[in-house]
Amino acid sequence: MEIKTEQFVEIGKREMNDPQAQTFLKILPEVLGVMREVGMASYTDPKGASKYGASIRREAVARLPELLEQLESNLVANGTRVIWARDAEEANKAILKIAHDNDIKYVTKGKSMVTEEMNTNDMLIKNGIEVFESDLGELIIQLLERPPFHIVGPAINVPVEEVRDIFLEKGILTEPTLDPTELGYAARMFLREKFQHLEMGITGINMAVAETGTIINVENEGNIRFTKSSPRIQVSVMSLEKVVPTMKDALYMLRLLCRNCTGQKLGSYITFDTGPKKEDEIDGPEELIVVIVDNGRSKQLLNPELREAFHCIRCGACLNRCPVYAKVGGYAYGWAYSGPIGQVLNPMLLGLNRTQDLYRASTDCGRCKEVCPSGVNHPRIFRYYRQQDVEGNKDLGSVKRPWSERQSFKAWQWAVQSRKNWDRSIRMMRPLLNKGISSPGLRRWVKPLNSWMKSRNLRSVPGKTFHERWKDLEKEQSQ
Amino acid sequence: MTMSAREEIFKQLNQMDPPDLKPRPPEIPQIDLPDDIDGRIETFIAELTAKAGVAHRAENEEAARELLTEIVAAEQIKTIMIAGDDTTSSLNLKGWGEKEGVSVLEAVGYDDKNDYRRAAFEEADAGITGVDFAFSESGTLAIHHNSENARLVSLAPPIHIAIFPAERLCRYYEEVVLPAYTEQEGIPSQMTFITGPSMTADIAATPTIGMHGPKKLFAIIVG
Repeated sequence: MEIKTEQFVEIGKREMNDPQAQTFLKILPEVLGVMREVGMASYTDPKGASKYGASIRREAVARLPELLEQLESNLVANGTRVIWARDAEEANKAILKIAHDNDIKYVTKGKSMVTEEMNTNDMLIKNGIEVFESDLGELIIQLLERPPFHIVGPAINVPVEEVRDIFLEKGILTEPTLDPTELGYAARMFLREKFQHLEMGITGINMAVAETGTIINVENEGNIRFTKSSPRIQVSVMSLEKVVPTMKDALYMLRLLCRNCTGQKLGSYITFDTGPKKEDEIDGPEELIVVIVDNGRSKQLLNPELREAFHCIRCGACLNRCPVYAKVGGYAYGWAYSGPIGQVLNPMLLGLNRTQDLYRASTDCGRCKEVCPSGVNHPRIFRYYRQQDVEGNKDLGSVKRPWSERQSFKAWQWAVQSRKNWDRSIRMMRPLLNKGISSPGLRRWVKPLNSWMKSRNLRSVPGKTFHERWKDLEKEQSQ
Repeated sequence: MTMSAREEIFKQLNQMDPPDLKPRPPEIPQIDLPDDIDGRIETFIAELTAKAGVAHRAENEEAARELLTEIVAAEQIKTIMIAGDDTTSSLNLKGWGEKEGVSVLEAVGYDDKNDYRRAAFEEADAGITGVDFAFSESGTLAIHHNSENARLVSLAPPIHIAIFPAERLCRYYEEVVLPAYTEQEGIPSQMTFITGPSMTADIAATPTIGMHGPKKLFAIIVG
């Protein structure tokens, strides 16, 4: 996937002018938000439920080194092969090697955000392995070569007509139809044959239980179950923060994940794998391989300010409540992760300089953190990024703000530090301000403020301040 | 020598401050669900029905077989694949199939995986399995997959029929999952939670029942 985080404004504008996208954005987040609320209402104390969820995630991240070691040793004890990967390239290479070693022609994939991040599909395809995304939404965006629009429903914005056309073009559909059910059925029949003869499947991981060495996937469609049950080889990929301490914690988080994601008490299917199939079993993978990917995370984990970002369980609740997402949709965020959590993760993983507009596109309303079931305070992290960007934090990939902006703030600093400087600047500014309003001169002069001025019409200011007039008045009266 | 990926990742991670673990807040109580058998069954049926599943209660095995006959007729099922677990064996489904004119494939009867896959994907109109547990809190069936309960039986055929004795119906997941997962020996290679037929809302957010997995799910509670 091409990284387009630098085009946030451009893509955002395009989407805001796209009537189809706007119609959809007016309804979808609202509906998903209500579904979530209905789901959460099945708790005796919904707020308390999220609070406890957050404490599980906080503990998991705080104890990460220890838990990962425990997870690894239990995975290995169960007969699972564990591969560690420093970055996307290393992980992709390992996956490709498994495919080549086993003479694999094609794989089916379960929906997985981390492999979106790693660009796994492109790499496999480039090396001669066919890849079939098997989640209906993922299949559609794979065929259309688009990024995910929503963490949970990646193609949820795509008009039915477009799905019909691409399915016809790719031979998935023979008779044109606009019925979503029939389109889904066409995808079912197309992938069914792939599932039946599958030799290697690739999935993500929603949670990995340290205590038992169990990996867990949540889904509604059954494609992940096929991808894990039918082939000889199962490769499941996780970023390293996906671990939870115990099975009890996992069950707790599963309830919370499903309710926050789709408002369901549970998704249709949840599978818990503990090792490959036993010898006497007819189906299930002979070889189970778990790839644990770092991709820049271990470095950022050392920063206590960012640790919360690793609490995220990818439920998508924050997207549905975000006023910015509700306007620009998922494409503007330019990479695997969209919405408030994308504004947290994309800058962290890609660097502050490439994601400038992401952590600034915030109303600071805090609705994201209100609904978060794992205790992420998104707005605090946005503010932290902004501060670090000004300070030029190299570890976060910042290359300081532009010279002109820094100079303006220096001038501001000088002006507000003493009364005398303030009064003097005000006297200087007033005539200039008025001139600027009627002429483009000021706009040029206050370049950094240009976009701010663009949407604001300032009324002309009187030549003298209240204080000056008061003094004049006093003078007049004493005369 | 260069460091392995594992060593390098752990070298970074081990620089994390030692965990400062605040005690967790009190766990909120579960919603209070009826614990008597009728209450459990009633809640289970309501929850599974809300998730587009169909649940029936049968007084005994004979009644379960009758229900099965009705389902097979209504859904025009010609061929079924059965898992070889204790529930399906005790129901003597082979004998039932002969009587009803339904051909019965046994998942345990296959030596070759491709033959088995072909039967599950292409031949079976329905898969019949037992379940290890069921949960009233969400209308969920839990299957421990093993040599007697293969994975594709409840997945590949377009219809899944699960039959289980009422005493396997619990209220909350923790009641049985935690004991099962404390002893390494008892942990299945795969456990599946099934809550309804397969579904999606990926095209235009239109809810659609029946995606890749079964389009219909029937649960028959015996007892």
